[in-house]
Amino acid sequence: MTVSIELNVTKRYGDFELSIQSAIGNGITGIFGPSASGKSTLLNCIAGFEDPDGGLITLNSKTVFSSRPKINISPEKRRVGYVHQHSALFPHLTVRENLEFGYNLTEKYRRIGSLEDIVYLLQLEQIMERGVTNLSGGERQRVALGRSLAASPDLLLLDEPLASLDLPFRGFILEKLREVSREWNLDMIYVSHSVSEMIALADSVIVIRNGMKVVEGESSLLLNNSSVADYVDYGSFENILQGVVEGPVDENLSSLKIGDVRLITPKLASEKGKQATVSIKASDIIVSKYPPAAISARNILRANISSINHSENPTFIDCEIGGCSLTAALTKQSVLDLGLRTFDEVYLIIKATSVTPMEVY
Amino acid sequence: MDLGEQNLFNLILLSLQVAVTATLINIPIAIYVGWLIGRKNIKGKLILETLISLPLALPPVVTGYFLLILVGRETPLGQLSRFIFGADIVFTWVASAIAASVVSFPLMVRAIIVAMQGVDTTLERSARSLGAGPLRTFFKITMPLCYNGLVAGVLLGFVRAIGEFGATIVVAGNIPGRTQTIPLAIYSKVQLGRDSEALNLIFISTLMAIMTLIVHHWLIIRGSKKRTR
Repeated sequence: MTVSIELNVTKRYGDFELSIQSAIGNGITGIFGPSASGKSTLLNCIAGFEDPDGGLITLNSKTVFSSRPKINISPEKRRVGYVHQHSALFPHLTVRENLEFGYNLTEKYRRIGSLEDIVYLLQLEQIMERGVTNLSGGERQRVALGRSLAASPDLLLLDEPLASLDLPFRGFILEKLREVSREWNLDMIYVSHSVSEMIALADSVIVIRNGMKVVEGESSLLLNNSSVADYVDYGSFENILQGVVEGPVDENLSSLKIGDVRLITPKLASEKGKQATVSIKASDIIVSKYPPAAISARNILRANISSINHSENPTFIDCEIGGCSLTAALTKQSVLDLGLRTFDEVYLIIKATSVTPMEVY
Repeated sequence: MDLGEQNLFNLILLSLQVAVTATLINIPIAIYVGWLIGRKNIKGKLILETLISLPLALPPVVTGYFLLILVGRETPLGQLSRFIFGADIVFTWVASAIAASVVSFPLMVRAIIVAMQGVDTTLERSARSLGAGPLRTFFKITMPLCYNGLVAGVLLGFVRAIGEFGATIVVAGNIPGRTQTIPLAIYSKVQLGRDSEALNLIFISTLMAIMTLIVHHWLIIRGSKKRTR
């Protein structure tokens, strides 16, 4: 792991104290925690909007804040992009002017993408000349992301960018974030309290609570670490999966290839060969020890259990199938009755209608 | 004293000269003070707010008297003026402009403070993280978003300045052709029982007020149209 960000931050607000030490690697890092745990304060310290009381922040080996010796680089010189939950678009400017704001302030040699690339990537062609006040939530967030990317940051901070969006737009933005992270080699810090998003997007997570780091590691730890269990809403956990569209199966169904797995889904709008993201609630997956016969569900996937999280109700069963992992939520009793153990071979039964496309039409 | 056409023209011109000068002096100061109070966490905010609002609460005659103490012939400022310009400030149109400026300042600055407080700090932060320094952020983001408040403040200040009477008469007197503005002229006409001449001036005064308000609404509508493209 190459370290891209070194954090050693303390900041007091009355009774609350934020105190975080961490070395963050490349890729997408999730910061996970309940509200008022200090997530936004941490982002503000990294962006330069708030000064820590003490400590050190380095971005790609460049010190942007240090209490001793005193260093405090101003926000506009840190090259840190910031996407807010409520997009924070400039209301007096058009979409184009919003995008150009940071683009024109970036020296040519620093630009990682042209304005046209960004417009194409985020499908903004149709709305470029519009004002931003009457855009939909999904459009606003696409513009906000585009505006940040146009300034070619070295690091992108995302503060719950999907929290106010409907499912289809969440899928679109998640896809684009992954694409940007991969193809532009752009590091990101992603704040959210959705376990599903974290697992779908983040390479690693830092869990913070009451201003302190509780645990850090791979994002899958969110499903099997008892220290996070008591404030995570597991009931709504969904598997967010990205695959390549294989095409329609019949009038109502499509086929999606995820790794080596073929998943039958409701009809997808994306064309054959394109990427599509779908969501499957963990509680919608049925686990069987034997291959079911004569069953109406369209997806029967042979899988191996990679881990069982016994501490929680529901119990999460992580399964590996052909290079992709799926998490099922079962009651404790079911797990006991079936006698499920790690490495067992099981069959995951998923109705096509339990697969929700996260597509923008 | 006859209100001939030439005199009337000069009267209106002098009134506008005084009010426009007062407004132009006030705009940069009001924007700076508005930003200080509306946007920054400074110490002594309460004292500053009280001070800038004081001319609004005081009888204008009292404000005029304070100004007289400040810029009178024998005061340091008065002597400085004589040294540099070879002339006094008191009983000149400059004194009228200063009086109008001080009295109209609170109205202008209060509208601007409210407008500045209404600007979402997240937008300014976004601008900073996109690479804009504090000055660019102020002129490209904060100021345009304060547009309505700025327009309202400036025009409110202007109408107050053009109607200024109490402080002006103390510090600049009521000298026809030199410091007499429309309100002072109306006062003189009424005192002398020249009601028809006074009525003419009242008509002109009302017309100017209405025109200012129309300009105000036009600027606001134009601004909002621009923003909801």
